[in-house]
Amino acid sequence: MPTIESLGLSANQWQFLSDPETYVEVSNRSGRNLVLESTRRQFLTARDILTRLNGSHGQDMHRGVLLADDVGLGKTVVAALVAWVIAAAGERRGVRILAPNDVVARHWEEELLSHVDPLRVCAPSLKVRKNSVKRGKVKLSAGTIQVVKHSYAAQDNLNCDLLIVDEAHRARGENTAFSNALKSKKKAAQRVLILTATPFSIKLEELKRMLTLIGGEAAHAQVTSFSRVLNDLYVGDPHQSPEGLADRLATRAKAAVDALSSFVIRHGIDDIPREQSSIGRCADWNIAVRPAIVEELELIARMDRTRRLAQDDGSHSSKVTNDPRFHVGWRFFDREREHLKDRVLRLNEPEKSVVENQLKAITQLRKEVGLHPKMAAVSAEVKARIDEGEKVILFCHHHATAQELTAHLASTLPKVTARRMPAPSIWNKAWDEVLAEPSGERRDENLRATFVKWLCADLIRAQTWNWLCAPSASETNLVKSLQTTRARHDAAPETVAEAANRLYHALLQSKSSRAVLKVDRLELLPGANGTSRVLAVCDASDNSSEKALFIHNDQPDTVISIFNSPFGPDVLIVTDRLSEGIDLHRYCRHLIHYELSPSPIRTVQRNGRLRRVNSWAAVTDQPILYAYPAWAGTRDHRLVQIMKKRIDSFSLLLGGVQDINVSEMAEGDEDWRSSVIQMAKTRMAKAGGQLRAR
Amino acid sequence: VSSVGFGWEELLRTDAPSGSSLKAALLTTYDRADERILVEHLLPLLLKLSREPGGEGAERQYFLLELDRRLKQLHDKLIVVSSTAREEPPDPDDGESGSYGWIWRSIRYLTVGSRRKAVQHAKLWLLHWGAAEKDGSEYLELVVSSANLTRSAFKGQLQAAWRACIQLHPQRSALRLARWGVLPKFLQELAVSAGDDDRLAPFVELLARADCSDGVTFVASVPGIHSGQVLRRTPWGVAALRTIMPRGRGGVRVSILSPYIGSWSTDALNRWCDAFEGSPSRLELVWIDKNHPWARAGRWLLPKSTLDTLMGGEATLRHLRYESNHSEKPGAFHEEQRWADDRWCHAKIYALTRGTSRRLLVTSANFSAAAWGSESSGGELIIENFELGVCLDQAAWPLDLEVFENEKDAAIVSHMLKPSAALITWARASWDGKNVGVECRCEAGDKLKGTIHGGGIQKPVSNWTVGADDRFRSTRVPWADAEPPPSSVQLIYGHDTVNVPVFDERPFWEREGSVPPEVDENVVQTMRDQLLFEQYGGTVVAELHGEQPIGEGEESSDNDPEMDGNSHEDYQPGDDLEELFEADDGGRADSYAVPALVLARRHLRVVDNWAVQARRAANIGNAQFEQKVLRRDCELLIEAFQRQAVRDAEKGSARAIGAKLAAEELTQRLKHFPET
Repeated sequence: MPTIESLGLSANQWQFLSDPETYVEVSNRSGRNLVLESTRRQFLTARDILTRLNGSHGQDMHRGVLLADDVGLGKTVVAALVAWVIAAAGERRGVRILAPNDVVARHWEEELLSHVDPLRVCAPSLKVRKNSVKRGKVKLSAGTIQVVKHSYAAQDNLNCDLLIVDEAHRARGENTAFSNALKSKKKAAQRVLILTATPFSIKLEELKRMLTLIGGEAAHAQVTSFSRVLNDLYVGDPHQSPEGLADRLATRAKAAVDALSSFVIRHGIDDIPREQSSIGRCADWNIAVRPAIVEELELIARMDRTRRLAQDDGSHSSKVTNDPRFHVGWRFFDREREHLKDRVLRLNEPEKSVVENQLKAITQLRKEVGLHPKMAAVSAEVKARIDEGEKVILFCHHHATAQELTAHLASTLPKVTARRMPAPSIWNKAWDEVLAEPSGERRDENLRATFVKWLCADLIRAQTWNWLCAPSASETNLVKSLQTTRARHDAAPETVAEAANRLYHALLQSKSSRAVLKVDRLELLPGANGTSRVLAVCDASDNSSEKALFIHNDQPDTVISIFNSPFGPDVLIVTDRLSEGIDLHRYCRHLIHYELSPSPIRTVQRNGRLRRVNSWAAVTDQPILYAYPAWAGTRDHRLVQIMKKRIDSFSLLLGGVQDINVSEMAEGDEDWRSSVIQMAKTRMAKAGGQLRAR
Repeated sequence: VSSVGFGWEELLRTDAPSGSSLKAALLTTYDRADERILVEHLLPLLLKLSREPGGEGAERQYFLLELDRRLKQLHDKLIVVSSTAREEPPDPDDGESGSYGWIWRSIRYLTVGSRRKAVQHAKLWLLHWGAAEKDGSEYLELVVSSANLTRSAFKGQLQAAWRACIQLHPQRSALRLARWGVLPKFLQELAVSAGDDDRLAPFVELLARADCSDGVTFVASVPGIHSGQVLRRTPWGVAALRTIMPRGRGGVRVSILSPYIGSWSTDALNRWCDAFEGSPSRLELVWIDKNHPWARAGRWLLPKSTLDTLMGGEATLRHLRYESNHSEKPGAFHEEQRWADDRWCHAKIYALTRGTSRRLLVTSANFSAAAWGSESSGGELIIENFELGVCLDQAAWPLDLEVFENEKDAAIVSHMLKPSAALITWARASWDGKNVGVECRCEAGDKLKGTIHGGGIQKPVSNWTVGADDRFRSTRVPWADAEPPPSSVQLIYGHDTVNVPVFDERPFWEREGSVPPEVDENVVQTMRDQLLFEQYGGTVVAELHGEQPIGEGEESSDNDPEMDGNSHEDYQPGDDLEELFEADDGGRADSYAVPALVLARRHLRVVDNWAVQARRAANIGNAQFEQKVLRRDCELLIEAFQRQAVRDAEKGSARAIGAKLAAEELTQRLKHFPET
């Protein structure tokens, strides 16, 4: 192992990590409610990381650590604390954070800034300043923390004292720019902290490279060995004895964990029972979808055939013809039918006639089958939930699916209405009174005016009035009600007024949100335009009448902030762009996997958006509900069946589950796989526990 | 004598490229062709059947139906010519053999002798192979041997054979045809003798499209009295030996291997030798001693008088010993031959050498006047037999044997037993759906009796129309019922009995429905559909009454999921879809793929494979036959898929989608397929 320079830190500089109680108290006073039990674990983890990196308490100095906590346990919190200690300890050290995208980068920035005030109180020896946090391509100077995207790694030097690589499992593929950059510049960083929830879902070579990056070469052999047995589990002979494989799985998992324990810290969500109450319990949410009828299956079969025939030269190549989108909606299907009408002109006989005949039959059948049954079933369930005052998030794998679902929900969900509401002018005055003045450089009357205007928009007004049940429509009563009533649920953590203030504060934190408020572009604020309770973050559909339903992916901060408040659209439809690194849990406990990605990691990550410390489920003492609606009789149903089995073993296998190719799955094989995992479970769970912070 | 292996099935192979399919065949034999050797060995090879004849239960029925289907496709394209329709006595070793007489409904069975007495002794196979997938070329495969189409010829005898597989040109050429020497004329004469003058013309046309190999000359005999003028134009029999004798100075030596030696007088022998500038003193005959098993069994026959003639002419007798004490020692014919091998040599080989020039003749002709001809008092050559051989330049004589120490030890017979003269010398029968037409040539008189057999039904044959020479007889007997169809006509004239197969002359739509006797008529349609799908790369196994589905227990090669990114060549017989569809939730029990869509892709793959073949047939020449078959198959596939849709729907209406789409698409495609 190459020699590494000392960080020269003293354990006294992170003494505050031994006193989580004070930190929680200080934070709570400043309006950021922390849960003591979780903070205690996070502080212990941060302390352990610093000890290993610095070589304190008789430990060897480590080049790096891999933090592999389950999704939702606050890896960002831990890493932010470590970053502050190293950057602010006065040793002229700089920290660089690589985040997978802008959304997550902004989240990092918020997280880092949220610690400034409490740290000033609890760790006065640290030089913690807000302007130490830098976004984007700026020169890294001593004492600063720079947050950049993964792509930065390929372009610039990575010289720093601590490099934090977030969502490291994104570094997939031997030759991705990010992966190469890490490979070539590993010596530029003095210390490395890698964050991923899914260590063994990373390709073996990548994982080994990361281990090398953190000085964990010694674990290569054991990691390779465990990876091989995982491979055996997923692509090996399913006729081999399950006992034998279970034994190997447990033995090699144990060996891998032993070898990794110096470099890896990991907490599984099931390892921390005392925190369950602050995270929330999970439950299945059954949404029954009527099975596919013959005409619907015939449509899919005809489209599959037609696309095959229309594939250029009649070679019947294996390009995708049975698109997964055909199984979850009709809009993409219809669009493809229109494309085929153009393509048919280029075909020769007899394929031309055959395709024309197919398209005719498809058109006729489409008239016979009505609304997509999955759309219908899901929208009925969503309606029932929002009628109860809940928010619902729906994940789709494709933009086309998200667009169709959004349009359908928008057209079927009832508008929010309220009776005997105060006039908008009264609302305006009431909010003006309730909304606290922002301090410092953020103060801007224009921004505030836009925000109040948004709060007075039809949807938000009606929504708010329904929560308040104010005795009369006077301004005084309104103000009082806003300040005393809790939104959506009696157990909500904040009053309506507090929620509005927190939201305003959060919007001001975001550059893009401030820009929206500044230019008074009310239509860019979800819920400002009309009374639709549905919003989607994905590519907008071509239909101009639906335009207002979509906010493009590039600027989702505003949407995330608003969805994390009681206000605004009750239903959010997103693609997997929002499946990682962000919080959506503050006012939502209902998640529908409308369209699964083949990757179990994605599913786990999606679920992790709601299952987090201080979740809405936890504060209202209700379960987090995950729905996997499936259209029986189609591949959609098959995918759901396998996915549920895979994610059950996700944590146990340290993320070592593989993507699903529905076509190559055999149910018998999946049962065999489950039995292997079941046999190895106890031993593996015990081994996994060894990786906890010490 | 073979350049390949030595097992009994050596002759049962083909050199045609894999993927090519038989379009026509001519097979000649002396003995009546044995249906069992055809059905159980030769036809599965030539027709490239996917099923095995040895199976039991459903597998057996599938085999018979597949054979029946292929024979119907090749209706009247397979021709067998033999010497007589007389049946051999049953072989006691055969055990219980199947009844395969139904194959003659589709295979044209001819016998020689329609105009005058004739013996068909040649053993020629001409196989026309359709274009293989790869190169688009057709082939003509020729086999000239000593093997009759009987079980004993394959299993009990050693044979000599020559085989060539020649790529066919798209167009005929007279020059090319001329290079085949006497072979085209031989075929014409054979057809005339069989009473069907133009029947073999398509094979002559194939010769006109094939280049005869260098160093190969055909030597043939045809029955008749041939003048010197005729022989100069077409040198039959012994006259042909002059055409193949090595040129040069000095006399020509001849070595002979023949199991049957005719009666030769000194004069006849001298004349025979003169034909190729040889002499009895330069003649070597391979022979066996009295103790040789082949002598004791009466397999090899040499009249004492001929031995005397040979010895008188100072011919040499080479001793083919039987090493009874060395049963594991290699025999004289092949390195793999062992003396314990109880097959007897039926090969007929002649070697002509002059100096270093050598010619080797592999032929059907025994060393007899019947085969080579004898000179009449008028100087004409009288030949009794059709014989055919092929002469190869510079090929080596295969035997190295010592001279007999004492000719008295040679196995001889005092005189040759002549078989009793046939009273019915030629016959044929056919059925047009209304009448059975019977024609025969027999001795004059009114002793001819006949009975038509079909299933359990017999009908007497009467009202013969007698030809001018009082020998040719013909009649038509009403038979309008196809259940059962007529299968054979038994003709009896005195002590002579022949069983003539009835060829089915009905139009194809009437023929198609007939079922081989062993097959269960209740499941025949399902099985036929299955075979048809299988032929185009698909299968849908249906359970038969009390039978396991075909392929049960075999590993399913399910690379054909409903999803994408998968190969297409995997639709194998053996995928037991019935079992796969047992899951209650409408899905396959062992797969997450959607059954209705899996099934649709599988059925549509059959359509794809048909379409690929249709495209290929459109792009190659001489494909009228293939196009005709493809058109008919398409019609049958449409009907089969319509039936399959009903069967599939029994386990859920969604499962019928695939078959429905397949039938629909084929109907579309058929509209664009050229009429033939």
